[in-house]
Amino acid sequence: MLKYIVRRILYIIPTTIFISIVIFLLIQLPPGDFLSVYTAKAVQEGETIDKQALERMRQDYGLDKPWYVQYFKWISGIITRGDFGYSFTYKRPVISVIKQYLGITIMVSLVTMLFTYIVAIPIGIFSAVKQYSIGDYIFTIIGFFGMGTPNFLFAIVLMYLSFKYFGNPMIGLISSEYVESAWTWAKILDLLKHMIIPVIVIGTANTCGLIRVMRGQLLDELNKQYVITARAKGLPERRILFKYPVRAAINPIISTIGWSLTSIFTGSTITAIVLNLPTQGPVMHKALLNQDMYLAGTWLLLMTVLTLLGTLISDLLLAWLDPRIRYEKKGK
Amino acid sequence: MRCEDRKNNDILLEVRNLKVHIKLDEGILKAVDGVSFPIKRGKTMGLVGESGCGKSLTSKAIISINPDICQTTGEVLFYDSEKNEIINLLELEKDSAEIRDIRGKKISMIFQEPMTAFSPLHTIGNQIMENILIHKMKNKKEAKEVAINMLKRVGIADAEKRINQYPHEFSGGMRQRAMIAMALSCNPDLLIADEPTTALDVTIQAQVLELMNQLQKEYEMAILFITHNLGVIAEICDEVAVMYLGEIVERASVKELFRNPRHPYTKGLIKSIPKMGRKKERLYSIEGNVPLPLDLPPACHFYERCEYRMDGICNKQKVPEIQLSEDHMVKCFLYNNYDNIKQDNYIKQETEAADV
Amino acid sequence: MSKSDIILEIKNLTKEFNVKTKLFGYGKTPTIKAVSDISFFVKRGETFGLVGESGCGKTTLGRCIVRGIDATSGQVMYYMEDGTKIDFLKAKEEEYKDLRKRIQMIFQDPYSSLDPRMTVYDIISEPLKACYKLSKPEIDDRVKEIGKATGLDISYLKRYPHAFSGGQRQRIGIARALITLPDIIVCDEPVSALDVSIQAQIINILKDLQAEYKMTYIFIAHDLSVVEYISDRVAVMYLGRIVELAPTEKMYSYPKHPYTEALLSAVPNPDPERKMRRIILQGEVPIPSNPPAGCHFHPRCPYRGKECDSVIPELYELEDGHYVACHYANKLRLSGIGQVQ
Repeated sequence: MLKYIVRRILYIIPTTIFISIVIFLLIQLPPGDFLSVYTAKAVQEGETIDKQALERMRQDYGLDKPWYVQYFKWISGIITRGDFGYSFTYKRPVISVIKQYLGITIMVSLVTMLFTYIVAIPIGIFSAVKQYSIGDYIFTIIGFFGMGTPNFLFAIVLMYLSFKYFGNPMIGLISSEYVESAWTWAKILDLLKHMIIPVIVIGTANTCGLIRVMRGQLLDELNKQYVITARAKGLPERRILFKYPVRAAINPIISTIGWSLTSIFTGSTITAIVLNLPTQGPVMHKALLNQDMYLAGTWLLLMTVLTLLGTLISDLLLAWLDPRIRYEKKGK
Repeated sequence: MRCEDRKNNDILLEVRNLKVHIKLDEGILKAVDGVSFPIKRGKTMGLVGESGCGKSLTSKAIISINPDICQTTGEVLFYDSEKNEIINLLELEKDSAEIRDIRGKKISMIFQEPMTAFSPLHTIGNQIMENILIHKMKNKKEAKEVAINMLKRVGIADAEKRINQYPHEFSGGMRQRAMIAMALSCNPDLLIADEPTTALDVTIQAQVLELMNQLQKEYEMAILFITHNLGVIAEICDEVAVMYLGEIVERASVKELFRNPRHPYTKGLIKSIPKMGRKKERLYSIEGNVPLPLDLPPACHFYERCEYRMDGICNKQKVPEIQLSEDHMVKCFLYNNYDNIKQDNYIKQETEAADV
Repeated sequence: MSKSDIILEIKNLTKEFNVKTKLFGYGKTPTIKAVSDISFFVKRGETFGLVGESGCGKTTLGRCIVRGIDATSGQVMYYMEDGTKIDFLKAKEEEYKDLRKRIQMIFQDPYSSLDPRMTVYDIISEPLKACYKLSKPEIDDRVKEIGKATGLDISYLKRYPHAFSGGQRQRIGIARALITLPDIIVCDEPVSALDVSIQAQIINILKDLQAEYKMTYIFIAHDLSVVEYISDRVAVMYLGRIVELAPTEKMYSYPKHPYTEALLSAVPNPDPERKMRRIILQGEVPIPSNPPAGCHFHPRCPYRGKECDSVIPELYELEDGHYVACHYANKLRLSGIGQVQ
């Protein structure tokens, strides 16, 4: 098993390198670079620009060189100095931009995920056990609405309702009066209040999907022979349900935690823009629009590593939960 | 009153007019429709029939473990030796403490698919011990010891190690042995075996049948053996009931059934299996297919496929159960009077002459 | 026996499976010998039975013969009417196409072996369109003829397989194999998924068709009584090897291999008054990836001797037409059907 984990981790290295090249190529693909975008904007707005300064920057970052030279410069900076490059838009190193947004992004994602699982799994179990009951139908209908409504629309509706009934649309994550203050209970409470809408909006679509998955999985398991065996032993229904089919149905869902982390991470850009959340979504969006190549590249690279790690975590979780998979891996 | 009568005699369980109906969009599926048979203490009762005849639902209805869509009516009278009383198992709530106390303890069950009958996520030991812990003792250590002894008893070597393994680490035959160990861990009065050897290879099937024979004597339990294999029935059963489309069409002792099959369906079944070491002549085959038991008329369900069908009788009236002798019942109009029986003997002699 | 009696000769057929293909190809991959150096011949017009328990390689062997999977090594020699022979496994293009229509297969599972999105007519006519260039009416006539021969209701041919019962589907499978008018049909457990009463119908149809179309069957099954009923000669397989091969009656009455004896005695006899002496084999079939040394059967063999755990016995002709792979075959007195009471 240990050998298997080590090997899986080793596989991550070549994969990451390969993907980083692809990422860099893609970012390079549109004609021009940040500096030309910047110049064009400045000219449009009638500003004067220091042509010499521009030329210096271009040389510093090798923007006049072929893409693979640029790539090599970038990647060697990351490996040797931990330098992810310079963000032209924010006018400071990429690493400091990321530091600013990463924490809050991860927090929002984790809370959303927690919300998703806590809501979806019990409802899924209920819907499966009481298949075709009124409750099952109601959850099904709500579920399809949740899946069908675009997130940004849902966000706008909630903001409107919040504004109408509480006098505050809950834009952003921290109220303006707390931005500069130290972390107090009041600030945390304020933060939590602001998180309600994003968590509901981002979480709902996933929750609804997960309810369907849980329901389907459990329905499959409920008809399995071993449930009948357990019943024939004289176990009470409730104990049968939680010891056997639920345990079996939940396995594949728990194993998707790894991937869903990244999907929630990346999938909420539009919502984050609408709600003005200080998370990575809008930052990424801006970086791409402005051809802020190092910032965008670094975010994408981070995503890649997260996805790979997430997949590894998923596989390990599954092996830990399912003895059949553990047994297969033992041989390796 | 009836209780008093039965206490001293040798009937352990009696199924009376059992019906399992399933409501579908297309109509009511009468999967089991008025089945009655007794199970004698320490004896083996066989239920034989083709797929879809309702034999498996019948067996599961006895301990009320069919899914909720099955509407079960009738009586299942079980003589509880501990309480010295007769209980109608169908009157007990499906998830009540009373019936759960009987399941797995006084009546236990083994299944066809040893592959899927154990949960793949729990160890064999965990699942066997669970049975012991809910019925017999609270101490986990003792339960484990009982489980290990049971595994040894069913012929699993290295039981101390095996008990911590998962089902997929067992072969098919081993799993069925473990299943038997689990079922017998509380020393039941009745073992319901639902096609226990169907998924196994012949040499493994022989091992498992042999084991069941030994254990039956040792534990003095009755067995209800469900199978589609007439050969297995002949090997292991004392009495047999032949099912067709939710009804028992014939019931007799094993010897009587194979020597003097009466119902055209039973005859057809016996004639249609190739027998080893016999002269090879064309196999007898029953015409047509088994229909779905949906909205069947109250007449003979075998009518369409029967060689001896009598238009106006068999397809119009309810078929009577005719007691040919003390241990031979047949549900067929052909035996409504004695002449027919003679006629049937004639048919039989004819076929036998051709057989040898 | 003259050579012209033979229609198919299998020579040293071996099939190995690699258990896992590893990424970047490092690490050793264990191989499983599912079929191990098997040789036998099939006579024109006979039914050749292949029996054995699950995992013995009988199905793999059948698939190798029809090139459903590629054999690792060996030959499948097909004898033409004029005496020339072609190795089917090496046949290319035209030759392959020709042999393809001469050798067909019927599968076990009547539910998964038919494409649910094709009509029965399309399923049956598909091999015909692939092998011959026929006009529409010609195809139509052939499908109808074969459909009738296999007992299908012609008016139902435009339906999809799900509308048919298990027995009917197996008839469709037979019709599909029969449509190219093959010389050989490999039947892989064609009746084991069917109920007793349906099983008899299918067996009878197979026999009738064989007589009518003069075909040769290779009949693979685990049910010894069915194999006895339908076969002229039988081979018993154990862990990828043939342990005994003989004319059916000889094999069933006078088995020469201890495994055959045990197998025969284990079959439940549907006659309660003729209880037989039963040989209960100890243990289970070992996993094919790690077969026992010497004779693969020796750990379970009640008669094993000293060389059995080291020397693999070769299949040899003990009596006329009776082949056996056992060191003690000529010394043992084994009992068969009808002798043991």
